[in-house]
Amino acid sequence: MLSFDTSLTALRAAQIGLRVAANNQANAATPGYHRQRLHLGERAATPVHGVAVGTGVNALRIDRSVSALTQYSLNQSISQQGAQEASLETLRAVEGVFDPLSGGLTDRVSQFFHQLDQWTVNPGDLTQRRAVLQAARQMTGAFNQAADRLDTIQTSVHQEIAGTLREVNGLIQQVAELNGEISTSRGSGQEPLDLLDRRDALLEQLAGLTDARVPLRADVDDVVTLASGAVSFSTQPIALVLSTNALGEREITWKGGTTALEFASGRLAGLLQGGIDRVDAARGQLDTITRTLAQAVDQMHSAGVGLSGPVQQLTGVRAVTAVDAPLNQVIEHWPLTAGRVTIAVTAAATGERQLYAIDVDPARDTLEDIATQLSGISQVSATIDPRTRLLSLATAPGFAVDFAGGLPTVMTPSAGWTGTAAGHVSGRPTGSVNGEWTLTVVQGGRVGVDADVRAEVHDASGTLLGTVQLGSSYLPGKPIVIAQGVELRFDAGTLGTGETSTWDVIPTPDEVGLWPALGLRSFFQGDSAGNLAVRDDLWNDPRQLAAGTTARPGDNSIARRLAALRDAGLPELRGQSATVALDGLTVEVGAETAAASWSVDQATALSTSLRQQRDSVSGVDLNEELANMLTYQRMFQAASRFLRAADENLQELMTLVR
Amino acid sequence: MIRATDLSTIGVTLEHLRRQSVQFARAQEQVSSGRRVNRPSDDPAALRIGLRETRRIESLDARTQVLDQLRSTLSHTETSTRAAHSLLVRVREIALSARQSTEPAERHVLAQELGTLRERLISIANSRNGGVALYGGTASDRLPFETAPDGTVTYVGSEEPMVASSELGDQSAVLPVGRDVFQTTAGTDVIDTFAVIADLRSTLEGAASQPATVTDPQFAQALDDLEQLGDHLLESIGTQALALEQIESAQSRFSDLKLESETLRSQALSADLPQSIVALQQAQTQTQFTMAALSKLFDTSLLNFLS
Repeated sequence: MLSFDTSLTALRAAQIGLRVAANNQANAATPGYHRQRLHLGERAATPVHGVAVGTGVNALRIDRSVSALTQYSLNQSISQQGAQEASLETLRAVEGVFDPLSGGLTDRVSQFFHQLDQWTVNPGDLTQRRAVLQAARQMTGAFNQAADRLDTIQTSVHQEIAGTLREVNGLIQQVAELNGEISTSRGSGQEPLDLLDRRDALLEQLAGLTDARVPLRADVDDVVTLASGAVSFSTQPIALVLSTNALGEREITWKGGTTALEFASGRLAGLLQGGIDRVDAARGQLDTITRTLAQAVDQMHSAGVGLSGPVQQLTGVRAVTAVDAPLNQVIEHWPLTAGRVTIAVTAAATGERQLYAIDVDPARDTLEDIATQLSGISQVSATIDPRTRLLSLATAPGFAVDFAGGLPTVMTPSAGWTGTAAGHVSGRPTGSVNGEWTLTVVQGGRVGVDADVRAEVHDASGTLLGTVQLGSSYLPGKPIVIAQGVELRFDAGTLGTGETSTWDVIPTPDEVGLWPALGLRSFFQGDSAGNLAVRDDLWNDPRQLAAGTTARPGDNSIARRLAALRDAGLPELRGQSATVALDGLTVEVGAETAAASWSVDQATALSTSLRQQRDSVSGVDLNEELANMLTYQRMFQAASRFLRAADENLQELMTLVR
Repeated sequence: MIRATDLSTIGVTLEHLRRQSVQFARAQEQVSSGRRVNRPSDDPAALRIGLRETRRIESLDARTQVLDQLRSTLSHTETSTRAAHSLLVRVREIALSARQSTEPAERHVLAQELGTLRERLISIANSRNGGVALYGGTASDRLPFETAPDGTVTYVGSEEPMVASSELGDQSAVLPVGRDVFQTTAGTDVIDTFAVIADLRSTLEGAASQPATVTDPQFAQALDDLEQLGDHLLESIGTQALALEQIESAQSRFSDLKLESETLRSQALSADLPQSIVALQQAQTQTQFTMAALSKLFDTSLLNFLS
C-alpha cells in the first residue's frame, strides 16, 4: 500500500500547487499582492526489505515573495514623491497668481506708471488725472486680487491638510486593526498572507501621505513610526490632530501629545512646508512690495498740493492701534524715524505762507502728543476721533495748510531790523537738508540805487551760499538765484548794514514719514496687498490729486517724481524698483516650481524603478504561473498514472492468488 | 536576474507614455502659442531676461509717448515764437520807415499797422495748445498776458517754467515763462515787447506835433530796443529748437534701444518654430511607438501556445 500513499501525497501536493498557481494568476493585477510560493518537501523514507524507500512529498508551506529592503526603499521614495507632488501642486497655483504672460498684476503696475508718465505732460488735465486714478484703482484691484487668490490657495491647502489628516487617521486605524489580526493569526500558528498583503498596501498609502516607516528589524514587523520617529503605533491606533499654537500657527500634534509633529516627507510635509510656508512667504513678499510702493507714492503725494491749493480740513485714513502709546508701537508696517515735520499755513487774504515744524520721536511720542503739538501751531487744530483713532487737522477760517514744505513767502527779519525794503524768497529747494538760511546785509543803502549794496546768504551750518548785489545794478523786485533752487528779491527801500533776516528752507518736509503713516494727504488707503485702495476723496475729486507742490496746473514736480518711481530702486526692496521686485518674485516662484517639477520627475522615476524591482520579486508573471500550472498538472497526471500501474500490479498478484 | 512581470512591464510602459504625452503637449503648446515660455516654470532664466526687456520696452514706450507730447507742445511754442519774431521784424521795418516818413497819412497807416501787430503779438503771447497756455509757465490754465483798459500789457503767468523730465539732458522748459520770452533787460532797464511797440506807436502818432530833435532819439531808442528784443526772441527760438532736436535725438535713441530689447525678449521667450515643430513630430512618433509596443506586449505569452 506504500505505493498508493506515495502517489496520494503527490496528488495532494499537485492539487495545492495548482491552487497556488491559480491564486497567483487570479491576483496578477491585484494592487499590493505578493505572489505566493508553495514549498514542497520530501517525506521521510521507510525501510523496505532493508532498503530505504521514499514515501512521497509534503506541501510544507506557502509564503510570500517579499524583499523587505526594496519595499522599505519604495515606501521612502513614495513618501518623498508625496511631499514633492504636494509642494508642486501648491507652487503651480502660486505661479498662476504671478504669471506675467497672462497679464494681471505686473501689467497693471506698468499701466499705472504709464499713466503717471502721461500725467507729467498734462498735470492739470482732469481727464488725465482721472486716467491716473483709474490706473491706480486697477493696480490696487490687481494687488487685492493676487492677495485674495493667495489667501484662497492658503485656505485650500488648509482644507487639504485637514482632509489628508482624516485619511491618515483612517489608515492608521486600519493598519492597527490589521496588526492585531495578524498577531492573533500568528499566535495560532498561521501566517496570514492576505492580511500581510493588505497591511503592506495600506502602509504604502500611509507612506505617500506621511513619513510612516516600518523599521527594518528582524524581531518586530508591526511597529509603525511617524514624524521622524517621534510617534509610533502597533495594535493601538493614534490620532493626529490639527491645532493652532500660541503664535496662531497651524500645527499637527497627536491626541494626547503637546509637541508639534514635524513630518520629514509625505504629502502632509509637502502641504505644510512646501504649501503653507510657501504661500505665506509669497503673501509676505507681495505685501512688502505693495507696501513699499504705496509708502513711496504716499510719501511723495503727501508733500504735494492739489489743484485747489492748500486745504482747511484733512482727515487721515490710517488708524493707529492706540492713541496713547508711542507711535512706533501702534503703527504697523510703516517705518517711522525721528525727525522734524513741517506744516505750511497760508493766509487766504494775503497769500502769506509760513512754515511751522514739530519734532517727532516715534519711540516716545504718542498720537495724542502729535495732536497736541499740531494744535500748538497758529491757526491749526488737530483732533483724534476716539472711535476710529484717525487724526484730523483743521484750520481757522481764512487759513489753509499743506505739507509741501519748500519756502515761506517772506523772510523773518531779526530784532532791530531797520530796513524798509521788504525781502521775499521763492523757488523750489533742490537740496536734501532742511535748515534755516540767514541773510546778512554786508553793505546797506538804498536797494537798486546806491552803489555796492550787497548781502550774504549762509546756510544753517554757516556755509556761505552766495553774495547778492542789490545796488545800482539791481532792478528792485527781480529774483536773484542764491543756491539750491532758492531765489530772493527785494522791493525798493533801504537795507541796514549788519542786519540779518532768516527763513526756513525745507526740501524734505516730512523727515519722519508721519503723514503717509497716518494717511493724511496720502494717495492710497490700506496697508497691505489685500486692502490697498485709492483714497475715496481722491477718487471722487481728481482735483485733489497732487501733481506738484503748488496749485498751479502746470506744476508737475510731484508727478515727475512719482513717474520716476517706475525705475527707482527702493531700499526696502533691496534696491529694486517695485516692478523689478514683482518680476523677481515671479521668476523666483517659477524657478521653485521648475525645481519642484524636476524633483517630482526624479522621485517618480525612482518610485517606478523601485516598483519594478519590487514587482520583479513579488509580482506575478503569468508565463511563470502557467509553467507552474503545467508542472503541477503533469505531476498530478504522473501520480494518477502511477496509481493505475500500482493497481495493475496488485491485480496481477490477485490473479496468482485465485 | 530581474523578473519582468506583466504588471511591471505595463507600469513602466505607461510611465513612458505619460512622459511622452507631457513632451507632446509641451511641443504642441509651443507651436500653437508661438512662445517657448508659456509659464514662469518653463524657463525661469529666460523669463528673467524676457521680463527685464519687457520692462525696458514699456519704459521706452512710455517715455517715447511723453516725448511725442512734449514735441507737440514745444513745436507749437517754437512756431509761435518764430511768428512773434517775424512780427517783431516787421515792427522794426515800420520803425525804420516811420523814422524817415514825413507824410502824416503814411505815419497814420504805419501806426495803425503797429496797433494790429501788437494785438497779434499779444495773441501769440497768449497762445494755447490743447487748452494749455504756452507762455504761462506752470500757471498754464489762464492767459499769461492781461491787457488793461489803458492798453498796458501785464504778465500774470507763473514765474516758474514747466519742465520736462530728464530725457532732454537738462531740464528743458516745455512751457516757458512768458515774461522771460517777451521781455529782456539792459542793465536795470526792463525792455518789454508790448510797451516798446505801444511807445513806438505813440511816438509815430505824435510825430507831426513834435520836432525831429524829440522824435529821432525816440525812434532810435525804439529801434535799439526792438533789435534787443529780436535777438532775445531768437535766443528763445534757439533754445526751443535745441530742445526739439534733443527730443528727436532721444526718440531715435529710444527706438534703437527698443528694437534691441525686442530682439532680446524674442530670443528669450519666443519659440523657435522649426525646432518646436521637429520636437512635436519627434514626440508624436515616440508616443506612437510606445503605444504600438504596448499593444504587442503580450503577443508572445505562453497563454497563446497552450491552446
